[in-house]
Amino acid sequence: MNIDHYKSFSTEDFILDDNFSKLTKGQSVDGITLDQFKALLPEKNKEIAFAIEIRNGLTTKKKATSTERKAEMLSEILHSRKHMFIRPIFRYAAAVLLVIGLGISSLWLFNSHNDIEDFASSTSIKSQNAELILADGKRIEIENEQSKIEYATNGSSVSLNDSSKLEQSEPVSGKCFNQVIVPFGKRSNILLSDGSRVWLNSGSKIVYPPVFNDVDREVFLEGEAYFEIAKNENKSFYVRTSNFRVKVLGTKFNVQAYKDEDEQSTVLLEGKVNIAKNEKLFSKGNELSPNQKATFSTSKNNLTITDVENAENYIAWIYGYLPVENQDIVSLSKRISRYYNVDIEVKAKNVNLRFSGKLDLKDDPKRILDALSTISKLKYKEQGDKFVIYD
Amino acid sequence: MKVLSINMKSATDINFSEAWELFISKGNDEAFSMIYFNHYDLLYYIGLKYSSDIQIIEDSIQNIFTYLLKNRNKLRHVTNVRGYLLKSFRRQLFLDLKKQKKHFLPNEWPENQFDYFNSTEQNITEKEELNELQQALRKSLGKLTARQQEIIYLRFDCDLSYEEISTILEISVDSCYKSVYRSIKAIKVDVEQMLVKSKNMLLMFISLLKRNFS
Repeated sequence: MNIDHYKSFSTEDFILDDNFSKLTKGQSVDGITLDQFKALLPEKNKEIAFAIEIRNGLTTKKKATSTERKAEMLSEILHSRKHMFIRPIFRYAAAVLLVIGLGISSLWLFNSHNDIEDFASSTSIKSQNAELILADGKRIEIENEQSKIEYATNGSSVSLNDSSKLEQSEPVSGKCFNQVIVPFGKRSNILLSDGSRVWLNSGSKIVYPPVFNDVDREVFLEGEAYFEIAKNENKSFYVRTSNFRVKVLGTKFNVQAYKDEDEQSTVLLEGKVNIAKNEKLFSKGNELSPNQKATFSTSKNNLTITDVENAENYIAWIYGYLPVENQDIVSLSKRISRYYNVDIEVKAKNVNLRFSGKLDLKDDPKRILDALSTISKLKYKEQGDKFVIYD
Repeated sequence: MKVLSINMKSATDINFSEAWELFISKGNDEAFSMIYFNHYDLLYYIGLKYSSDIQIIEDSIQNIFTYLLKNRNKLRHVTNVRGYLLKSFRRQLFLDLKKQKKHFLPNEWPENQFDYFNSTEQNITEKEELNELQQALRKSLGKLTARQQEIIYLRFDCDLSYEEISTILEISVDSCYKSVYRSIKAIKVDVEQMLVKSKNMLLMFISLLKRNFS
């Protein structure tokens, strides 16, 4: 952004400028935020302040229509077409009704998924500790590196770290959600009301109803978690991420779905799961057998299934180990930084080096970096509050 | 001459034109639903500026999407999906509003009923909280024609590009830009004058700066 160029701007020039619009919306342009922009143009503070006021005054309050209502109307629209094709043929009437019924129920499904996702996106990491967020928005902080949250089968009483107990009003099944957010450097272990157990890794969140509805069990995950699902042949368990959905009956598997990474994946340890892309709402999906890994690439928008040698490696993090399999230094340091909540910058030129093995994560990050520098030629130094890795 | 940075095309439209292609060539329901879900709110908000009758707005939205579905084979490829949808929606809404009421005086035409701060969206307490500048701004906006207000609304509240607005209102990109420029200038001058009349301008800016820079 050429700052000099703005020195001759009038109030209206600022209002009309696209870069300025972005700044007022809280976005940065070429790495410059609104505050920095103001600081760079002290002589224009009056015009900028006035321009911001006018821009803000031009935005109006909006109340979005509920997804339910939209879906309802969409099904009426689609319905009108079905009629158009089949109306004259009466003996197919029953079939038409069935099709419409399916359409509506799938829309309903689609819609309920969105609710859970909406709830997930409405909250962000605020605390240094793991947080439990109840349906009414109340946030409860839970201390400890490894917090423990356990639901009774009725979903209303919750025990925290084996020590304190918490009662929430009797939840309406499947309609309200609870959420656990784990910041970087922390982990959490959750026992859901159906008896399924979830290990939540650093920098992750999971949304679930305190009691599941009568039809299925569904949770939404952002980040990484290992699941041991209680068997219930009549009620499938779904783990949804922003990109795919894993369907299970009763089994053990790991899901990795961090927002800032291109690849999201799931590894199966036991039993059977079915995985499908979110957009393919009606597709059958792909079945995964034990020791197989399904990887979804956002950039390529495809799902690939590969065999892995030892699926146990993928859940080593729940015991405090980090499995490393043919990883380069960039992605490895990303994982270490997430686990310990420290910044690591890679300045090394030789990034083709690949690492395999197991890292003991109970140690502090320095000892891990020490180990890495002994086995490779890489060095590291502490610079302020971050680590820098170099050749 | 000053050069303003202006993006003529919005990046989001690229995906929609792919979805559109998929819908018109294959009748793909997912593509259709995606277009529907991603435009519903925008259409609804714009509808509210013309009428507080929610039923009619919903009907108009439903009508245009039903039309698209039934006439899929006749539809052509459009690069500016959002602009195209908004254009069709406005037409449909005016048609539906006219059907509801048979006789109009010229100044009652739905096209002329654009209300920037539609009362159904605002409640009274909020109005009381508005500072003097915001109140002046509202007065000043009210002095613009319905069309000028709409252009400002599409540009600054809906974040549409000049190209999209020109498609929707069927005017040239150039006259669209000129209209925005003139309206903004008029608003700024007007607001400034109103504030000078009411109290010392300097005091106003001091309080403004405090708010923005503290």
